[in-house]
Amino acid sequence: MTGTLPMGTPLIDGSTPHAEAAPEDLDTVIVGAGFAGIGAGIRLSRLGERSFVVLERAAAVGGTWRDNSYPGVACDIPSHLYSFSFAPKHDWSRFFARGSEIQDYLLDCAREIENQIRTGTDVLEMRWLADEAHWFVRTSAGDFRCRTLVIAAGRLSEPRMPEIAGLDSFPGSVFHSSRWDHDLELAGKRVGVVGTGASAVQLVPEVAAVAASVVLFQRTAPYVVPRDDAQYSDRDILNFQLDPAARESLRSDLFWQMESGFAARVGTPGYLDELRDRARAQLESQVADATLRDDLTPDYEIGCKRVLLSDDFYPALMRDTVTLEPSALAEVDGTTATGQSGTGYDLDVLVFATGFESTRPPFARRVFGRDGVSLDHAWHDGMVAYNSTTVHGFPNLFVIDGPNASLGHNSAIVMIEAQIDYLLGALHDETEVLEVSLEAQNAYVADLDARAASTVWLGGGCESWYVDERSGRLTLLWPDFAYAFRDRLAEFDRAAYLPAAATLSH
Amino acid sequence: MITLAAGVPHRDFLVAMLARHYDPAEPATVLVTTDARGPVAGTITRIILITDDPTPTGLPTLVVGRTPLPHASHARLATGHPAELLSLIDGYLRHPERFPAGATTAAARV
Repeated sequence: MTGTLPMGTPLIDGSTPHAEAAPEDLDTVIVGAGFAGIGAGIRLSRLGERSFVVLERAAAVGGTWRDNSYPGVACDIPSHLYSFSFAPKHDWSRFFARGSEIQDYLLDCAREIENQIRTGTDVLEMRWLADEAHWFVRTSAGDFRCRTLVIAAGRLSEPRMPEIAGLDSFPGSVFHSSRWDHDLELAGKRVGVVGTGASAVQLVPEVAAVAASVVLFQRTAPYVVPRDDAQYSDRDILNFQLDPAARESLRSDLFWQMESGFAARVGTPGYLDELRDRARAQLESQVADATLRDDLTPDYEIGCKRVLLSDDFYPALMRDTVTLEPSALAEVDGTTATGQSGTGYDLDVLVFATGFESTRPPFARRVFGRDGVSLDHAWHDGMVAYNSTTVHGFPNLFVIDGPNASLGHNSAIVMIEAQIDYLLGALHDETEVLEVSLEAQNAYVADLDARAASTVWLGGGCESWYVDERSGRLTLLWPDFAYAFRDRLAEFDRAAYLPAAATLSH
Repeated sequence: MITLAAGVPHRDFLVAMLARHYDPAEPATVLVTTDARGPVAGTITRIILITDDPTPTGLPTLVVGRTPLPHASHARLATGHPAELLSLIDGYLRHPERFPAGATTAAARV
């Protein structure tokens, strides 16, 4: 065979591969041009690698920060920490960057590898060709054949829309917060917002400022702590420009300060109480109405769900034009949206701030490893990967920001960089076929489960998107300090991988 | 596996976090202390000495502070945050080879 999928092999859409078009041969294909994909591309490029592409289905790079452009969108991690260590930016305008500034940063970063980025390229199928020891990647814009496949598709890329009875009958605009309709004028409109997660607490104050009325459907009350954002002064920015060591020192300080927050996630007395006290103090100081305060009081331990940062969420709920419906949206009948409490509201617009398909990533249905098994099937009980990066049965595949690689207390960029370092270590190993052993993967997963057992994410009495409902396992978050993940992935551990003969004999 | 003397900064935090991975019931082989002249149990084989003014301990030692000690390992911290100190102790327990004697390990770059 010469670099095409074996003829007659059906693709997942039922078609057969193009017989006439030879795939483009490359060392590495990276899927996704968000933080993870751009970062991996830059690091490869700086090593002199040119035989790679970064495939992006959208018309522009940016991932989460391209998609999420709703009013008020911003990051909950300080800007000097929510950026690449290898692409520092001295002139962040605020302590917490707005979404558009992060998107601009990513566009700047992407210019370094612009010749390798293919936008408008939807990856339709990724299939391991065992006898060629390569991946075949079929896309909407041509096929590729590569030795190494890096999936950097992110975990906040597929909007999750709940199934609501009668939603089709709603005559007004309906959209997910990550697909904001900027052509829609909200002034004078009656807007319903579904969900009280990180997106909702950011967009509700903005929408409330212009809409005729807002109804917020709340299934579960969130914990909200003060955001305490601040603008960097011209003097600050000049200082960071002239003194890179000061900028690095700030980054280091922010990282280690946030690391201590993990202590609260394992119920460490003092740390947990301090975090809970901050949230409750803000609720009590900002919400005078006792009934509303009761409705906004969470009934689970802090940290079990994502702790939200906002100074203006509670004040927005105090507006006369804003109503908190303390139950989930149950059904829609024409213009009337009714909560599970039975209370109905006439609305013109419905915004779903209901999160993303994170524990069941859609990309997994498009990846077929050794023996033709799909990654979705391999993950039928929930996502697993050795070192949160490589998967038994899927040789030469690296998943960045995948299973147990997110954080609930610190910057995701630190984790992404650790995984990129691990990827580069594996590529440096120069073994033709790298497949992690089942024993190593199982041992890693057992270790993860043991670490997770004592965390608030499993024992905090809530339902969250961090936990896979099929297995009850914590599959999204790394259940320990970020430094421990970075240390673990600092060196590529060849011993965890099958001998070359074993991988080829499968 | 490890014991922390009184006076070690962020001791409660360190004890709670280290207990997640190291069995407190096991005989301690590593002592974390700020006092090179303090009591050392017979099971101790390595010492993490947190001080800017170190003196020899008689055992393989990692000095954490501004000043190195001849023949001892040495590491500097970038911040005063407890998690950074934890990461250093944890790293020394898991990978002592990354802290060669007579050499200074710079603070981890984030």
